[in-house]
Amino acid sequence: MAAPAASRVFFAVHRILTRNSLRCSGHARHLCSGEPGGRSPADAHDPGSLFIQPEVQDILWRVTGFDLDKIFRERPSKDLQPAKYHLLTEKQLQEIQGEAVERGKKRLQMPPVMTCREDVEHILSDNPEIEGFDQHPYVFTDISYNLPDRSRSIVVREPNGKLRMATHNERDRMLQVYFPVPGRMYSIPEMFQEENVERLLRKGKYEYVLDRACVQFEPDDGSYIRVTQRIYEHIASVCEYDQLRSTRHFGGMAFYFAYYKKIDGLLVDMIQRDFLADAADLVKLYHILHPNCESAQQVKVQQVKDEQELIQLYLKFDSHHGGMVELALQTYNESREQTQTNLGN
Amino acid sequence: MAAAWRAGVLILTKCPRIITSCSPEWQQTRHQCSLVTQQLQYRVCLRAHTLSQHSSAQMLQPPTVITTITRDTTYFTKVGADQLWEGVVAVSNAGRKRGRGKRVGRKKITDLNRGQMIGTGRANFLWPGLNTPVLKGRQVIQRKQLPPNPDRDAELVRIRDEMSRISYKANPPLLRGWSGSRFPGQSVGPPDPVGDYKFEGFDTKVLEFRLVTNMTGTLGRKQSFTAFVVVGNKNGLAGYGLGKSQNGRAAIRVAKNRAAQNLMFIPRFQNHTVFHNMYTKYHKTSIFVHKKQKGHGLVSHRVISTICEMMGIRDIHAKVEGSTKNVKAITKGFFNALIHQETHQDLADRMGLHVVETSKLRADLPVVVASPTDGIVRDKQLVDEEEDLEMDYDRLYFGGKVEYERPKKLPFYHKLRSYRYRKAEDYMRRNQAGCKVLRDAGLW
Repeated sequence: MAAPAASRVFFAVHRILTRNSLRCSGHARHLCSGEPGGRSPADAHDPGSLFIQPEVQDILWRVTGFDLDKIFRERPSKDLQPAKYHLLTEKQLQEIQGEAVERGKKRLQMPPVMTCREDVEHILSDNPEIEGFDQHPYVFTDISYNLPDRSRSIVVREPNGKLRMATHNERDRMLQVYFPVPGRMYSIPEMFQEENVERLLRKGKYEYVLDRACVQFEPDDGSYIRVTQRIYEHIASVCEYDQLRSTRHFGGMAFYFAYYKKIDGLLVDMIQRDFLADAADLVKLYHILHPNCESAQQVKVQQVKDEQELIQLYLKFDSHHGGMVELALQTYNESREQTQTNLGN
Repeated sequence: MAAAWRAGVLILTKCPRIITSCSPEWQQTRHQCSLVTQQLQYRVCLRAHTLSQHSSAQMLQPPTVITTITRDTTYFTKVGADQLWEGVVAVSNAGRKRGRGKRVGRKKITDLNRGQMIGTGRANFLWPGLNTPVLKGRQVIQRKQLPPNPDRDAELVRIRDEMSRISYKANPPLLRGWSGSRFPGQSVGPPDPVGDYKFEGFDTKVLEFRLVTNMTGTLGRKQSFTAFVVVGNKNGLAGYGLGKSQNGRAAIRVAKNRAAQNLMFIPRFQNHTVFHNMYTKYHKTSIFVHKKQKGHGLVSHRVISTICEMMGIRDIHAKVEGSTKNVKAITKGFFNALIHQETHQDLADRMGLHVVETSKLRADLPVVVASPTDGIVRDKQLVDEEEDLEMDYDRLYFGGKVEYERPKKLPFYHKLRSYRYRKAEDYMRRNQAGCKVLRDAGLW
């Protein structure tokens, strides 16, 4: 006990009583080993490192939109309290509104996009002399205070005497036991099973499922990647991109479409809603993620700055459904001309 | 008989009236019974004789003889029905003076012959001239047995029960008033139409219904009913009225028609609650009204809840202080308070400030609900230094009044010395639970 207090290490031992409790570990892993949609990105870049690039973050932040009414929309709560009223001067009102904008920005912080984590077997020591010491593996968790969860050491002693690093699934469960995250459940909620996700998608509860997935999973968890990408695909198929606008998930969705070269539907939606700057931003994002594509090269050569030209170049060289986007662009221009003539008259 | 003897118990019942009407086998049994009785006497004597000769271990168990007293005659055939019923339902003079025999559940005299007709019985016979006509057209009807009617007995029982039970048909629970079958709290329908105008969507609820008396020179004590009702369309229109009549129903009708002539428009916030907290006083009745959020419900005096239902206010909290039984004062005070509400726009104009709403449901997003119409917003806030009244919207309309808060009831053992010691010890160790964790972790 002579060790200084600060360097003390506390270990907790958790005895896994049934082998069955380990069964869900491999469920998502095989799903994320193949790329969704059967397409692999042209560039072998890691999406995680691309996502955190400042210019990518800027674009994603801009296209997300910032509608305070939607960010702070009424959410159901069990804790009902009457609204409060304040009598404020102009200055006080501006102050309180400025605070609300800051809080809104925090609420729009995007969950990170990461590559799927893989389990690597790492055996620390092999002690065959203690083989059969018990029927169940023992998990040892370092529960010292103030350690980041990702570097916290968690090891498993198998009944055959091998001491190995815990798998990601085991780590998640142990961390939830000793350092519970509010809202996260020890076992994966049934709503994340594929058929239930489909049911919720049919009801249009995209944000709810995404929010809950953020709480339940780590961002590099295979299940998280599976659930989020399934939702993005569904949104694209029903063209309900606007549902995620001004939420923290829009950036992730835009990045997904740009990374997997499926931005046409989103482009049409942006042009139809008069977000031409957003559409141009999306094309720019596409060029950042795929610098070797034909339109990116052309933009570099021609030094294009105009929004419409940027989109036109993309349509010409890299679009899969160019006609659809072209039509939207045409309608946009016509309506704009009409409003200008109306204003002129 | 021997088996019974061995068992040590023999039950003898002296019941000649029944036995005489029994079958020959039973007569045989009776004979045996008397034989057994003789034997019993003999054996008991024998046992008394041998008692001195045998040891107690060898003794047989003595028989237990149980006798039952029976009445050989009946008074049911000797006394008339009136006297018999008197024995069941009679109340003594002293009891009658105390009001016994008047209650709802009392036993009533039942005519047991009701439902039975001469000539009809369990055997379903047709007796021409008694229960059927002799001639049917030209045909002479013969005596004839019909198949038995299986429902006859049940029907007789039903008819008898109908007489003895008091027929009281309760309203369904949602239509009942505040208490039992009494009028207050009950809905009595819309007011009567005036000309072409039918009060569609209106409803009336009784708030007070009483019997009042007046002494007159000629008639003496003259009784009449008074009804105080509230009428409303559950959408912002409501009124109250008082009616009196010799007849209860008529009093209610008069009251609701008068109430319909005095309808008032009640401003509501988002059609569910009041605009702001408020205080009102009418005679000795003070009311504190609190604005509440959607889903809160009506939490108030039953009179106020009923009025709110008629107005279409769904969420409110109100407390009545002072005279809480004066229905008319509560009603008038509450109506007065509601029709003098100040809207948010009025408040913004009066104060020259923005009225801003923040709600936990919207994560405290400031929403400007009203700004001064002239666009001139005061730079500096006028704050009452002592009371800070102007800042606090919740107390803005209470006029400095504060609700009485009933002190928390202390446990019955709060004066015990052991409890005081326990509290003192708790006080000493009040923060130790948390500190121990930190100490163990080496952080403190």
